[in-house]
Amino acid sequence: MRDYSAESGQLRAICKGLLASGAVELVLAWTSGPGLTGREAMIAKGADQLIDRIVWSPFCTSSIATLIKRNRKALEGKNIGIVVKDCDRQALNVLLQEYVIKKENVVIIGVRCDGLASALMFPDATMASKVVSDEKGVQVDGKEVAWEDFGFNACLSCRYDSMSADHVVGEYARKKQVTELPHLKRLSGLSLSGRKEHFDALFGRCIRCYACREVCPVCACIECAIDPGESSITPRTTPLEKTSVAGWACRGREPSENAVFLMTRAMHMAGRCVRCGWCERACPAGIPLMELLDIVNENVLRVYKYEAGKDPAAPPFLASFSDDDPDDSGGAPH
Amino acid sequence: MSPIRISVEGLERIFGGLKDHRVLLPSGSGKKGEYIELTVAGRLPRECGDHTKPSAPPKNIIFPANETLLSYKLNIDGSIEVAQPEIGITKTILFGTPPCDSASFRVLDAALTKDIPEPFYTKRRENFGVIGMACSRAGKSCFCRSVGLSPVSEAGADLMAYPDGDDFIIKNVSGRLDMLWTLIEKSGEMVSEEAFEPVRARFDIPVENYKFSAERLVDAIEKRFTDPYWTEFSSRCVSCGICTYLCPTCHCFDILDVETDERSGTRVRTQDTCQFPEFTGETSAHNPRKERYTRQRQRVLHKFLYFFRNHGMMMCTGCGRCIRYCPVDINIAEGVMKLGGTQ
Repeated sequence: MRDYSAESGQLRAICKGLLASGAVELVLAWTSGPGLTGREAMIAKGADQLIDRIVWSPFCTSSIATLIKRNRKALEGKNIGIVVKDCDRQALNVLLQEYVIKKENVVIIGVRCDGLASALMFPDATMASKVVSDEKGVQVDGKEVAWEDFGFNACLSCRYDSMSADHVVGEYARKKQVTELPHLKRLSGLSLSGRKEHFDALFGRCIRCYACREVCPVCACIECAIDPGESSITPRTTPLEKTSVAGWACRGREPSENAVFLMTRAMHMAGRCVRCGWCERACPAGIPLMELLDIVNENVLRVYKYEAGKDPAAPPFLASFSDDDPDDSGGAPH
Repeated sequence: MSPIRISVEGLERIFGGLKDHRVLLPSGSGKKGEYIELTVAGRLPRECGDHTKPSAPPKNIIFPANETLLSYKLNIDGSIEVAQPEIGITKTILFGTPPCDSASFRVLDAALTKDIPEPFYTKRRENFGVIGMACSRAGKSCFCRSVGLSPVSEAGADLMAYPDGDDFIIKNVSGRLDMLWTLIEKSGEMVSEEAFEPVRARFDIPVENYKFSAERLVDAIEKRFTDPYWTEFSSRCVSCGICTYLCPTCHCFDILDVETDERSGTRVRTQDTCQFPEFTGETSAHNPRKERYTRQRQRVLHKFLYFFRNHGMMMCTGCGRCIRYCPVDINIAEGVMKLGGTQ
């Protein structure tokens, strides 16, 4: 049985120590809001109110690693402490590989994670509620919900079972043994036309809010090919150049345009997706995005033996080439 | 006009017999929810509340996220053909929306049919009726009472249905659906005000979250434009479009030309959101809302200040979608309470 108030206490003490000693300027961690959900915050020395609210529980469903991507300029050159669960730890490695942040600037505080949970299942709970978890599920003030019932695909098929960090909090209490991803197995049972039908329906639901892209910890391009314009237009850009800025998908909510966006993103996540599943959790249209991403992930793993974020010193997957790489993806996937 | 008691089956029969209308219902709830067409043998929902509300707002039924305004073609002889598409009109009845969603059409009407009527929306709206339903369960992110609505408010609804066992008690609110009302009157029976009141009162449930006074907020918020709280409020914002695209009242759009080939294409109106940086990107490359907090501030002020000043109503119905679906737990009600709306 894991008691998250005790683990949050340990975490708070570590963060407090790092800030007090001057080892880091900022700590990136979850803080408690009025409800169960942990809220990301960048905490500076002296912000005692925030430090006292540092929290860790299965309701910290966001990825602290996206704070790095979103605050790239503000964090440049600063020493930071960052609280990461297993998948965020992998995401941090991808950001290190891609030089979004430098290794010498980060102190990693890892929290061992058994899976995430949805606060919507506990409508009566508040920040003061007692949160514990075990092999079977999460208990809030005595009410238990099984891990499976939150429906977080990425967590149910999570394979991370070791944490390497400068400081580590918590012990795993749930065994993670996933050999085959259930959603991919479902897909592989479909015929080609069945699969087309399945994905057409999936793309048709997209409302193009780009939440999947914005919450993704490693979707860190400064400007996205799908809707460029922010940094490619300067006062010196001529009208002709403006008209030729390629927008690869029209903003409108058309199934074909949605497909271009979602598939482009899935392909660009090759070797970068760390399977944190935040895109799927964030999607307001309920699109099972992990299906799309896992097709790519499993192929990268099977054909190129590459696991995203495993080795921060390895070159990024899409930026490396080896003579031993197979010429194609090695036959039909799934 | 007295309310009418009609059995659920009776109403289903009436809907089944409507030849030239389509009837839409909320189906599923949350992220899996949507508005689907009632099939001939379809069943009507017998209750509505936060637990039955689809994540998708009903606005897109008559204000689609993508709308072709015109198509153009450059002929070989140099002449240009421009064609406007027919506005496809199907008489539509939306059944079973909670009061927050019904009220959203009052907001959209004020924005899109008043000073300069928007032809596409206006024409569809003329052929669109809303049968609201009293709400039996407020959720954790609901705050309709703080914006002047309630689980029994009839704003925006043409008819209002109060579930009562195997019956609905239906009230004629606007008089816009008289044809349907006549049919309901024929197959139902009149209910006296005394008999109706206890049924209505059953749905007059409290909404305990986020109690603020919208009127007080307007004056307070105007003075807080440069308040440092805006940065705190939006510090976690990822600038996705969830809060605005799921909002039943947000109606900003963009117009763009989509080339089919070198000689032809269409002019399309698409949804747009103040949360994307390009929303205010100017051709000179200047962007007055480059910072995330300025964009979140715009969303809040448009809803609770500018729209109120222009139209005398809040551009928020308290449905709570933007709170419930925000991936980083940004809470507009919590925000406006801190900005001066506390009772």
